[in-house]
Amino acid sequence: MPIVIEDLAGGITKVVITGRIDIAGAAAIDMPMSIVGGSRRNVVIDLSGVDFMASLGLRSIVLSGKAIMSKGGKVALLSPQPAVEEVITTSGIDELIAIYTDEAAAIAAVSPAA
Amino acid sequence: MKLLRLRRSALPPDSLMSEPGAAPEILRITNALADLSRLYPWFEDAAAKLGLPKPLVQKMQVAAEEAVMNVAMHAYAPGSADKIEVRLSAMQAVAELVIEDSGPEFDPLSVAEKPQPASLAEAEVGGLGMKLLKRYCPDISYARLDGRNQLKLRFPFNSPAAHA
Repeated sequence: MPIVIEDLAGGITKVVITGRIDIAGAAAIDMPMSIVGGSRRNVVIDLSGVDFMASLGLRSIVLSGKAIMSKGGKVALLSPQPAVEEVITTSGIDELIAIYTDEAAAIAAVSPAA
Repeated sequence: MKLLRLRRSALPPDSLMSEPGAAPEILRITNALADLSRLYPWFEDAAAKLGLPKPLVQKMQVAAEEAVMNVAMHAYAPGSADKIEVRLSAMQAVAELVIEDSGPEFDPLSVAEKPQPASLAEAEVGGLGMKLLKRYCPDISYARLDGRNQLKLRFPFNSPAAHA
């Protein structure tokens, strides 16, 4: 499974996505990401294990992020690899969802108290 | 004679050995997910046969996914048996990816790019991929040929598609 959803202390949810998020990979994360968008409010999306991602994977993250933010929630991206980060920054999504390289900082940024 | 001399002087000798007329690698798929999922394995295989460098292949795949998914979502109805044709070829220092469909005439380049949204709430996923495609491919052209849409993506690269 290219996606694992972990509920941490303090109401934080960590979503760990791994592998190649190509067309098949994006199809596999779409439903879980939409569940995260619908049911969680304070979310860190860990991309450190993603080797490849293009527009479909990005679309899945943006849709879920929109749903989270529309409920007043917060979302952050954690440690994308360089090629994946390039996709995120080229599309301008990093200006809308912050990228962190430190997990504690990412968790602090999305925590309900922050 | 003149043309021949020009060619010889303009190009290093070994690029004359590469294959300007080599047959392209071709994939024909429908817009079903099982078919679309074949794009990446096919691309990896075709790019390896053509000797394309890895960083270029990654960039081309980002562009290819967007271009093919655009056609898959907009040219044909779900479940359609109509085919999307993807061709990959390389000559000298340019890799060329061509995507063709027989759907209604549509030039994706004619769609104006949306301004950067101020917040995620305002972001529309629709324009995202096209923005990526334009940034990842420096040379995109569209043509309507014989009732088909043809999107041509050209990627210059440094090391010739060498079997060197």
